[in-house]
Amino acid sequence: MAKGGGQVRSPGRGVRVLGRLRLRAELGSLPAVMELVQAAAGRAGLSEREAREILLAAEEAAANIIHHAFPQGSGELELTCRLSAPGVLEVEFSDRGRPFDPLAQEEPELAPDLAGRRIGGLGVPLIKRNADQVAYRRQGGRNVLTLGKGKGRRGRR
Amino acid sequence: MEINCEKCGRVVVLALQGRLDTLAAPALDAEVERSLQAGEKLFLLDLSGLEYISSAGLRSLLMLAKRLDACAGKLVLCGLEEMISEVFQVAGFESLFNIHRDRETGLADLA
Repeated sequence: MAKGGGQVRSPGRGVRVLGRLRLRAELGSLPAVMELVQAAAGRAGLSEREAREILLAAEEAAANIIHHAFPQGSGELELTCRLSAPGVLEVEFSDRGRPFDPLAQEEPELAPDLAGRRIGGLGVPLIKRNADQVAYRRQGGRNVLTLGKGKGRRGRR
Repeated sequence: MEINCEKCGRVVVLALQGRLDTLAAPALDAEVERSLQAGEKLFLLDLSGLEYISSAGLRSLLMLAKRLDACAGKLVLCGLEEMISEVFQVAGFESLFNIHRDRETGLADLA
């Protein structure tokens, strides 16, 4: 679901790992996730606004994994931030939790009135809206979720 | 996130500063709970100092709105910065809340 144009490079070439973390899959790990993504966004040259958007997508993605891939509690979450092309940050979450594909979740019904509105379900729409690219795969018993954010990809919306 | 709580007449004014994210949302829930337990029914949330909100923060706001709705109370929000407005848009929250530009107009709505 790539959106917009931008630089294309052959896979592997020019990809640079900006940081990698292995964390316990629990909410207490979120500050470390945010810190790495923030630093990586800076190194990728993203604007303040782009950085905030990918941070939000990353928080929602991590919280979803912690809640849904590890409903019983403990496990491990691996976070890798890469420069997949100049000015393009890739944030990858990988875990051995229960299969969980955020992209397969039904779009929530956003009832316009308080009585009809159900609580929850807003994380995935926020991921989709704030990352330029979102991809999920189940690979070797792992959930692998990749969020992409490019510098100057989109204008103001 | 910092929460400043004050009382303007019968209105509880909560000014939020910083990031209302997964880790900060429980602090807002606790603050709100204290006021609700004390019988407060009119709330103004001043979000002008808020720079970031995630779905956990949205959940806290929605729960408060629902609870006040159920007890004939009222919730007004004011001072939404650009990022907050955009998240509200994605969540379809604009039709759910009374949103004012600033504290003065917000308080007037609650008077």
